[in-house]
Amino acid sequence: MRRTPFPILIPLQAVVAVLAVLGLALWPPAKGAILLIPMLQNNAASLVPLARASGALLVGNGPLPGSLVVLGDRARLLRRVRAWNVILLSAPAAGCGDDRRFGTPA
Amino acid sequence: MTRLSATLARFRPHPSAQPTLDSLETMRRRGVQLWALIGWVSLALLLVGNAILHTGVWLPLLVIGTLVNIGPTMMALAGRHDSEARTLIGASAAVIPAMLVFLLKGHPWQMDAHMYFFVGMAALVVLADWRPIAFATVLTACHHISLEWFAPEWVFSGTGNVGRILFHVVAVGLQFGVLAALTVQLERLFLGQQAALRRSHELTEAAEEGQRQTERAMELARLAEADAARERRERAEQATRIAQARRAELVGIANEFERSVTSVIKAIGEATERLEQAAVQLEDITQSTTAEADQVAAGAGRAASDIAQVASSIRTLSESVQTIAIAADRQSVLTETASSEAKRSVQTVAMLEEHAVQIEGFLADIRKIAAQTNLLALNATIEAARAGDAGRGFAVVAGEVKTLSADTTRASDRIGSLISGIREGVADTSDKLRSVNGAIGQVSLAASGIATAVAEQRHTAQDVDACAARAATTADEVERRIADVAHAGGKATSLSASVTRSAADLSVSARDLLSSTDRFVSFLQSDHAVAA
Repeated sequence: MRRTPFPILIPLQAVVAVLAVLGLALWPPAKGAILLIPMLQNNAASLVPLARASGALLVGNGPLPGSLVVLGDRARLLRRVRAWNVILLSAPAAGCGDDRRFGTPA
Repeated sequence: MTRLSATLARFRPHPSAQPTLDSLETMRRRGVQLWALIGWVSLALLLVGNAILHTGVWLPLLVIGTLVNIGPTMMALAGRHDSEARTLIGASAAVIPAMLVFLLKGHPWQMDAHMYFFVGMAALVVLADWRPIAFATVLTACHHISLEWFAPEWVFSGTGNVGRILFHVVAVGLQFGVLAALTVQLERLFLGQQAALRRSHELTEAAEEGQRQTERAMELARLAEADAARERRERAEQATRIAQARRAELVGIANEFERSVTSVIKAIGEATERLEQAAVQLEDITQSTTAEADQVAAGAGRAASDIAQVASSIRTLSESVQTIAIAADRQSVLTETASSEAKRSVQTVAMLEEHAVQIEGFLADIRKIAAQTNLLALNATIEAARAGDAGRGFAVVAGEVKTLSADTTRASDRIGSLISGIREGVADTSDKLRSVNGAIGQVSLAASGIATAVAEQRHTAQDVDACAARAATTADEVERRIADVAHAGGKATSLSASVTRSAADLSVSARDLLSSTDRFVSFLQSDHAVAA
């Protein structure tokens, strides 16, 4: 691998690392607080029935408009979510971890 | 010399010392390779942990781990370990602990997994470069700060605040500071070691070169000493040979000199004897020559007087011949005049004979006219007869004419006989004149021969006169030369006496030279001459 005329590899690796860390931080947990982000505005209203149908508990509104924080099972939520209609992310406190504990999902 | 070689050998770097000059680069290259291996091993262990813990995050671990490991792996495979390659490793040191924290999400040990950030940063020390540590530090700080900015509650749920983030950042910064100082010092140590090793290597090479030069110089000195000794021996031997050769040469030269001098002296003696004999003979010859020269001088004087008298007689004869020549010339002129007159007489006679012939021609014409006149007179007589009386007078005239014609014919015959007599006389005169002319020609020819002979005689007499004069002069010169010869004969006699005396002196000198040569040759043959 030869040297590039200008140091593009380091910024590229930095971008990959930052995206990787963010991806890891935002990856939804198997069970726990999950942030549901609707891709369409009209899907926001359907997030609650979707969460309830997946057996998740509603925790509150998310940081983004129309988003919803639920406490539930990622696999069950994904089975209810159509492709790319709703994005599942890790809810707050998932990045570095703490001593907060959520209740058992319904 | 042996101690110097041993000392240099003790300080001589091991053959493997040269690669240690690149130990920093080697460590960095191996560090890059090690981190590439750590990346994949860590990914494998994380996947194993995922399987054990049943966290179900194998997909993000695999994807992110693969993406992060691509760069360092390619660098390791390419053998690159430059600053760019080393800096890329910093991403792995930041992401792999993050993947561990992500794997342990919700696990009680998740917070403990943060210690592996420090482990990863510490492990970057093997690269001996502060850049990957700074890169990992910045990535970690950006990770936390960006999450703090993007979702503060995500970083530390419930208790998330800037102070706690700064607390972590300070710890990471301190870690970076310590590790950076360590790597800088480590790099300096390596560079110093490399410089010291390079200097040591150069000094060792210089010492080895000096040793080689010293050994070469000592070898050259030994060779020079051996050459000098050999040269001294050769010089001594050569001196001995030269002395012997010189002695032999001197003896040879002395013998040769003695032989040559002896032969020369012998030749001088013989030549002296011959010279003395020749001088005596020369003296006798010169005395007789002098006497004969005196006699010749006297004879030459008499010959000169006789020659002078002959010359005087020849001059008298020459004057007589000159007189004869003048008379012969005058006779020749007169003969030529007579000859020319005779020629003119012959021409006159010839002209007279020609006139006689012309007169005979005229006589023939007269006889022809007379015949015609007679014929006319005859015709006139006939015609007069025919005329009768009337022609009687005419017949008388014709008879007269006829008579005249007959007289004319007779006169012509007499003239013809006279002319014949004249022609005979002219012819006789012409013959006589021709004989006279021939006689005059012969006289003239004889006179010319006499003149030519006299002229030749005159030239001969003049030549004889000149030769007589030169002979007289030559006789005088011969008389003087003979006198000189007589004088020279006297001198030759005295010189012969001197030569006889000089030959005697030369004989004495030759004997002295022979004795001196004997002494000189004896000296050359002695050892003193050789020692000199």
